[in-house]
Amino acid sequence: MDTLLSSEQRPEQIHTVSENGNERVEKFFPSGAIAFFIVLVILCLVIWFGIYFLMIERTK
Amino acid sequence: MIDKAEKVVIMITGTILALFVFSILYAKTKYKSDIPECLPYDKAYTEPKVNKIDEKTYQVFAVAQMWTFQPAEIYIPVGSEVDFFLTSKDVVHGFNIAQKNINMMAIYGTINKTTVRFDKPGVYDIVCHEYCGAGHQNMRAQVIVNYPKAK
Repeated sequence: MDTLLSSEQRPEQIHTVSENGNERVEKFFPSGAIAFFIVLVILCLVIWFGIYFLMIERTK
Repeated sequence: MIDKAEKVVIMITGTILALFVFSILYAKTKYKSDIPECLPYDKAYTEPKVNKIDEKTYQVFAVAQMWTFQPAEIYIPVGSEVDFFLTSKDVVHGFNIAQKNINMMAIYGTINKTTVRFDKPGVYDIVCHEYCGAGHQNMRAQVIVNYPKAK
C-alpha cells in the first residue's frame, strides 16, 4: 500500500540498524542507482552522437 | 499525482529524445543527403553498364545476381556524381557502400536509384548485406575513384 503513495504521502524510508546492541536510524537515498542512471544516459548520448557524426562524415 | 523524482526523469528523457529528433531534422536539411527511390521497371536497366553523361556525371546500371555484381569494377574520376540504378536478376540482394552511406536493396522487378558524389580518391567496396545464398559472403564489387580519367 505504501508503494502506491507519492513521496509526500509516503512515510520516510527510515531504517533502524542494530550495531552492538545499539540501534541507530539511517535514512535511505538511492545515490548509487541515480549515479548509474546518469552514467548510462551519458554513455547512450556518446554512442548515439558518435554514430550520428560518423554518418554525417560519410555523406560528405 | 506524479512523484517529483519521476517528473525529473521524464523531463530528462523528453529532453534527450527532443535533442535526437532535432539533430536528425537539422542534418537532413543541412546536408541534403539523397534517399534511395524506386523507379518504374524498365528492361533497359537490366543490362549492366556505366554511362558517362559528362566529365563529372555518370550513371551506373548495376545488376545483382547470385553471387556477383555487374559491373564488378566501376572506374570513376574523383569529384564526379554517380547515379546508381540497381536491380536484381534473381533473389533479393543488398547493395552497401559503407564509406558513402549507400544502403539499397536489389529486388527483381524493381529499380532502386540513388545519387552519390565521390570527392575523395580510393577504392570503395560494394558488398551484399542481404543474405542471398551460399555465396553471399563473397558477393562484392568495387568503385575505383582516381585521377584523372575514367575508363
